[in-house]
Amino acid sequence: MRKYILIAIGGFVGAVLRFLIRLIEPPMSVEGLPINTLIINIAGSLLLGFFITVSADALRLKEEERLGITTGFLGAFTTFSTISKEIMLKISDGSIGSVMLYLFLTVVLGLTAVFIGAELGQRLMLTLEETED
Amino acid sequence: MALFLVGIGGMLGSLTRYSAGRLINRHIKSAFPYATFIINIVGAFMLGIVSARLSSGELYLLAGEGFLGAFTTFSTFMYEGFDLIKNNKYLNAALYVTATFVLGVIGFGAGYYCF
Repeated sequence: MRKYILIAIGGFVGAVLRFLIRLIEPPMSVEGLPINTLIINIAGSLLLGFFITVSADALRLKEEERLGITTGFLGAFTTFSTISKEIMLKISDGSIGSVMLYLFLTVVLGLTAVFIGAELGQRLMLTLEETED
Repeated sequence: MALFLVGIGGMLGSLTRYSAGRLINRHIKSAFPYATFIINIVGAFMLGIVSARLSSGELYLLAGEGFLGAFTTFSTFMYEGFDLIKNNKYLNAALYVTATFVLGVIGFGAGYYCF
């Protein structure tokens, strides 16, 4: 039961934070790209890479608390349906170049962000092991 | 009020994603991440319908921005793609990422233009 409550709280906070960030007017427009969604998804991917790699123990969290962060908060903060909508509406506008750039940045930066997050997590784990020895 | 609607939607979307994921994983045992794959495509299709029907208003905040925004996820999708690459399953990784985007966009379009 506690697990579901933590996922629910994480989901609530994640969705609200995504909504608030999406309301911010970007300081510049880059090729008409939905920069806000891109930033949200990349930041969330980096954090997920980190939180999955680091054990719940090392974070001084219980496993279900970590689930609240990963499945709840980060799962709800990042979104895929919005990307599909943005791409479909751009295709119907005929902005194919912008679609290609958005897809490319989303996939390349998304995978890179997970990699960096996991790498940081691994280093933290190694550091913690060393200090224990 | 808007924040509350988005939050409630996000809460229900996360719980539905978690439960649906467990249900799918219980029935399909595979190295291919079917759960997130199915959830993201179904969610994109449903956002198409919701966007066509409720272009603005409070119901959209609850169902579109909140529920479907949180039901679908990008971070887990990317983590799974990264995990396939890490395990040298390059073809699966490429197939997973490509198929999710192609079917997600087609799914949104089908929901948006047909319903």
